[in-house]
Amino acid sequence: MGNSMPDEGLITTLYQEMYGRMIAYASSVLGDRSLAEEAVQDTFCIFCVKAETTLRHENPRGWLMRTLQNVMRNMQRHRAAASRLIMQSLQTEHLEELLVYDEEDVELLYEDLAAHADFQLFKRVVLDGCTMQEAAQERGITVEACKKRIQRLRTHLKQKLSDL
Amino acid sequence: MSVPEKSKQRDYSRYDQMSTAELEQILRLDFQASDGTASDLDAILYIADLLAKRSGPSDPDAAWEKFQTQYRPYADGRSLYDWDDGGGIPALETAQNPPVSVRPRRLRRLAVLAAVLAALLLGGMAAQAAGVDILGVFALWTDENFRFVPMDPDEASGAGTDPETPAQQQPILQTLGLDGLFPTWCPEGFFPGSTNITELNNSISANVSFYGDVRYYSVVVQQFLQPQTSTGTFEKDDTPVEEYVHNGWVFYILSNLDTLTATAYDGTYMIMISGSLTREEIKAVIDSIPLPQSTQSQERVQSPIQ
Repeated sequence: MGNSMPDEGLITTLYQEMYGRMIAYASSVLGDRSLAEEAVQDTFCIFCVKAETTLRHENPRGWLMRTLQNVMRNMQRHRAAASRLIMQSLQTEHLEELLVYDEEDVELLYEDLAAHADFQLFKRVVLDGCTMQEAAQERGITVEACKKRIQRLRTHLKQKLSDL
Repeated sequence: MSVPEKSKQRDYSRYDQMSTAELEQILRLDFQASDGTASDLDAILYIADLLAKRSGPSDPDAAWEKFQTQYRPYADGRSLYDWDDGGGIPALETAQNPPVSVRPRRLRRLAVLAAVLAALLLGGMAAQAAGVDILGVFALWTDENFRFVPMDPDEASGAGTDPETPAQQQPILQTLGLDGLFPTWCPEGFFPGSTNITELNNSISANVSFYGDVRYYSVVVQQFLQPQTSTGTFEKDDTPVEEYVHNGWVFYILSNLDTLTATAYDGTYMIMISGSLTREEIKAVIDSIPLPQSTQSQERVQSPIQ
């Protein structure tokens, strides 16, 4: 049997208790309710993946707040860096060349379209302040797929820009 | 249970009277100062509870539903915004030392010497030239806290003054140019985020965060529309506070574990640089601030630690 049901109950209880507080904290820091909600959801995701450890931590509420702070810091840091990357890309004369994946992956049938689409997604999340979940929903994909596409494009752009 | 059990042992009711904007500012400052350092978790949760209640009923059930269907199925232990292949701030690893519920228990007592304070107040008033609106401030610190204290509390409370309205102050802020109060240099490897402007009842502040690969620091410039009796308290460890003078402004450099904070206050503007910088770096950042030459007298006292 294990402890899966009691753990799930604990997670639910902790979520109900801490959600509003964490939203208030994140909203104060980020100044955006949607981004705050995503930061809180993201934090609970990390919490749940390691529930065996986190639920038995001496201070799970403190753990959640510290992780929320780090999630927000990551969010701000990567958005700021990504914003610079996008600006750098837009200012280059070789934007069209940049937006072509040099993939040998046969699954990428429409390489240039994929890069263009990923760039639009990247701008949506970084410049428009859209959450990953909102951007994913707009495109009918999962947040996981959204993250992977952003990571792929980001790595690609950095490599291409460094070659110029 | 809506309030942590331990917090019932400490009285946080003073936060009940604060405005929403002020409470939000406290949380922002807590976040900015939170690089690996302990904060008062119970106070933070109390404030967050207050804000949550003030914002009206939320819908945690709907949020839970979204969590279960759109986020949790794809959780892999890393943040959605951890876009590095191997870098970033591993949220899980850095959560090993969560904020404690109470302040570190140092067996020290705060001791305020009334005679020293009185002498400073008298001395401060004597130092004010007739007809010149000079507000001296002095820095007061112990092993655990640092704050600026006005020389004349009556002056700071606004008694007998004719404060300018926020509308009159705004052009002053713009004509002065925040550029004059912001650093023009940052250490190699850092880059700035967006500038955030916060307007409260009694102050306007601008803050910029700077991000490095694994380090982070922030710069906050706050303009108070009226001299303050309290500009807040900085938590610190027992490392001696260092005074660093730049263009006549005295910056106090204080340490709190792995975070350095440099702050200066002239009665109107408060500058705060805080984060994971070395002492040399923070001084170099200070040196890059254009700063108008300060003409205000400053006194200082350090309350002895018993």
